[in-house]
Amino acid sequence: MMKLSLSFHGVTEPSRPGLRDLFRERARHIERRLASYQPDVIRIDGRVAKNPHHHLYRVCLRLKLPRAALVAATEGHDLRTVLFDAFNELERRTTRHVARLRCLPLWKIAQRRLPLGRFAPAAMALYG
Amino acid sequence: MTNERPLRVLVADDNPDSADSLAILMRMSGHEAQTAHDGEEAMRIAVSGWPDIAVLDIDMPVLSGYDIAKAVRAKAQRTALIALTGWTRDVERDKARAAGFDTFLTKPVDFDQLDSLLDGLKDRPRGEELRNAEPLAANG
Repeated sequence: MMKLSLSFHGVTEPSRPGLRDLFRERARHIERRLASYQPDVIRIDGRVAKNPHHHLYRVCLRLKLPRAALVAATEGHDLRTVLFDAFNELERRTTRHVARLRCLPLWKIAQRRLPLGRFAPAAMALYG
Repeated sequence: MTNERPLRVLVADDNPDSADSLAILMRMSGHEAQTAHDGEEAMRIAVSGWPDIAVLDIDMPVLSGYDIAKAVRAKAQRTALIALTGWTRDVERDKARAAGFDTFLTKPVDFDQLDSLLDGLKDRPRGEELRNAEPLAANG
């Protein structure tokens, strides 16, 4: 199991219902991207802080891996959205990091996705 | 005498996400940060005299961290130089020290350790004043 920690600074308990569950759920997404690592060497530390003067929430996520440490930081007025955005950013960084480790240049990933674009009109017709 | 200006930190790493991550944390700690993703770009910024501190990855394309450290020291700049590498062997530490690095950190970076290291540098003389300052103690 990967190691997780989440701390709150200036954020009251009632303003963060279900936030720990959301944190764990989104962390599992990241863990899936890191399938080549032993889970116990992966660590995500989350820090949620509120700026009382501007009513702004700031979320900082730190992902620690062997030989790499990645960070994502976001801020905004809605706590859940800010946490979501931070995890999206961390996931992007993680994906790029894993691709780099596989020596797979990003342009190759983009190129692989190109053929999928052919199915977009059909998909739009089905689900749009 | 306390220096009011925020520390200027150059973070150079050919892994852009690692460099950006470190820069984000530097800015959150109240410092100014610039990133470079290859040795040439890092050299340009490092020798410009802008940074108070340069955190340099050793293995970078075009120029290595050692090359940059040597160039900075050759210009008699007293920018604090921190080597960053995945290698933990003693020979790497010795090479870093010989190149002019003040401190040696291994990847993954311990952000809290780096933060306290920078905190210790806040009140140090900077820029021209650094010419007469004592070098940092070797770390790790």
